[in-house]
Amino acid sequence: MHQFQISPIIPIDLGGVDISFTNSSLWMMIGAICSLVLMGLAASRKSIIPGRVQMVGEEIYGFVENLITENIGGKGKEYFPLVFTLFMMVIMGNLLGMLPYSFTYTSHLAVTAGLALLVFFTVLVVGIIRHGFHFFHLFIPPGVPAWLLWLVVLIELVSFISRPVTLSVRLFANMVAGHVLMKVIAGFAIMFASMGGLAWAGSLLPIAFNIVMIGFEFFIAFIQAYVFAVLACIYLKDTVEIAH
Amino acid sequence: MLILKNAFFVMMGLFFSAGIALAEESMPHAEEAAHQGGGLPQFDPTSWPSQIFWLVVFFVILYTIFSKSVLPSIGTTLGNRKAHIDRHIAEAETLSKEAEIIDSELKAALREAGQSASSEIQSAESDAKTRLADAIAGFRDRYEKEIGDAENRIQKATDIALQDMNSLVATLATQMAEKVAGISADATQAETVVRSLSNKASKAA
Repeated sequence: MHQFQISPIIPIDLGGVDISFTNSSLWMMIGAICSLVLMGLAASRKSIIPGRVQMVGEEIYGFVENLITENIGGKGKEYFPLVFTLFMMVIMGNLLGMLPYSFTYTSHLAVTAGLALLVFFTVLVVGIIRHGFHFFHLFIPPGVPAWLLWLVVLIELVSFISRPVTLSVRLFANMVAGHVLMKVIAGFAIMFASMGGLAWAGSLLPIAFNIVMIGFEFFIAFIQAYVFAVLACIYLKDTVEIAH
Repeated sequence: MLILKNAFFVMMGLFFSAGIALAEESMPHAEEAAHQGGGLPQFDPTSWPSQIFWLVVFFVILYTIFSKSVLPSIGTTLGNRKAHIDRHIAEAETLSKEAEIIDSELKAALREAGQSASSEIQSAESDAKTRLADAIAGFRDRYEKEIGDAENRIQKATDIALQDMNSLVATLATQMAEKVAGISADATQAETVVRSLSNKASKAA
């Protein structure tokens, strides 16, 4: 699995902790620069009738804003920069990963778990600060008979704690699976091509399939960023209002 | 069917493992990857601090710039556009309302003009009618008077003619009586007789 290998570019050691600038960090930087340039250009135009770049930036802005108003509601405005940054980081990682010889930083559990834990602790900390003890009513759905309450609370607790796990593993697994699948199919093509003789014709099918897969992976790249942002919104909703 | 399905899955599995093996073999760094334990590099915790460190760095940079500059700026642009469009829509609405008012005013003016025109036409018509009637009545009066005058004149002429005729008849009768019977009759007596006779005749007529 060479494509997921992390190799340091500038080795940095901070008090015994290895925080080298790696190929992952490089592509993270490229993603950050790309999103900053795109959004910065879009923000600097400010024209009433938008041009192409401004249109793209405003569409992304509107897309994330829509996600927030639909999933959190009007009070979700305060989380707009957070969800927007999450969405941009994830989609940039996913899409840049589609470039040949690039590195997909969202295919690493450390990164996706970092983002998911950020959402998780934001919910926990803001929720407790804002609602105090009432925040834990999240685990007690209304209308549950007393003898069943312990089980329901346990289930709610587990589902709450498993949020960062599912959020991070979903993205990481999708990215890894897509890239591995494409590599496997490319492996078939190489296998047929290296057999010699007329066997090269057998590589046409995996190549054709891989072309379809690349398109599909672009779709997955977008969908996973979308899902990540939507779920972040749904989790953040608990800090704005507790349903019961 | 089930056997076929299972066989298909087994075949697919074989193909996949062969593909992976060949792909690994064809890659120059395959040995290096194998050196690291063969598992996914994602589960190698030595790279985690670096990844999380740089994730935090870039996330903080992006979050700061997005929240402080980019997003408010785009928000204002969108707000400005919305305000601009709303203002134009409101303007268009007031203009269309004004146009409606003008239209209704125009219609009212047209209606009024039509009404005044028709009333004027009616008054002119009735005026003309009365004038015509007056003219006709005047003409009738005049010609009736003229006819009456003419009739009077004719009557007078007839009367005069009749009077002459009576006296003529009376003299004729006295002369005839003298000549035929040799009686000399009184002329005035004869005239009275003739007049009474002619009166009787005119009464009978």
